[in-house]
Amino acid sequence: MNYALLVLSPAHSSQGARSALLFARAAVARGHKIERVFFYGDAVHAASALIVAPQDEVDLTSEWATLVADNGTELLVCVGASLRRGLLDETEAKRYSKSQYNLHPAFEIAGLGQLVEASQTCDRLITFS
Amino acid sequence: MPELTQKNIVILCQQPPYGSATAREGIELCLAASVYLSELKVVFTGDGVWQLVRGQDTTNSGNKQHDKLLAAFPLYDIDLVYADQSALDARELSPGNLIDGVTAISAEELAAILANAEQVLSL
Repeated sequence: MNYALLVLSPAHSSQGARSALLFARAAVARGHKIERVFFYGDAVHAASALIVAPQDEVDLTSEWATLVADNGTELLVCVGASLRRGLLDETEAKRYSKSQYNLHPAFEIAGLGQLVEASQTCDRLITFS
Repeated sequence: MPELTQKNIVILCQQPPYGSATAREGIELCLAASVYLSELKVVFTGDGVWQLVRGQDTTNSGNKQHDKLLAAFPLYDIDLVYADQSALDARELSPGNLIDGVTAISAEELAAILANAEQVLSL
């Protein structure tokens, strides 16, 4: 089955953010495809390249990046939600004259239209909130 | 976006308008979704019905006025907007307290809307 995930849970202070990753891994292990993961609201912080996880804790960002590398899953963060939370890629940093950018290369900035598209094309859209 | 066979989508808004960004981001999702979908149902339930209260005053809190955001619905052709009557009753809200264009629905009607949806996005 083709899945899309919508992650709303804050990246580092909620179980939902971990559960989304665990669900994605379990689905892939069963032979399903996770086509797209869309991060919205406080969930977008998962895409920051500047997160330093303590040594004995899971590094959510790299775990997501591994999923992309192994399965071709698209990781998209909502542009509006990201900009207001200080999460920018190089293009957005230039557009808004910011000297730094911090989006992890495994993630892409996208519009809400791509969430709607995933809801239409995938067999299931699962929300983690 | 390519032409798609449209799924019947319901956006379920359950969070109060202020205190977190979820309600606002839920409405932004409704507006974006309406651009791609010819029919979209938006249902407010639980504390989400507070989003619909008319005449909100945010002068002192620095928030954007949530009811003004909702006033954009007609411009986006979002006209299937529902409030869960039992959630209104529990909060002593009557239809007169709400912005225009909202239909109050019974628990049975709400259940039917959710049962008929091919996809429910819950925020």
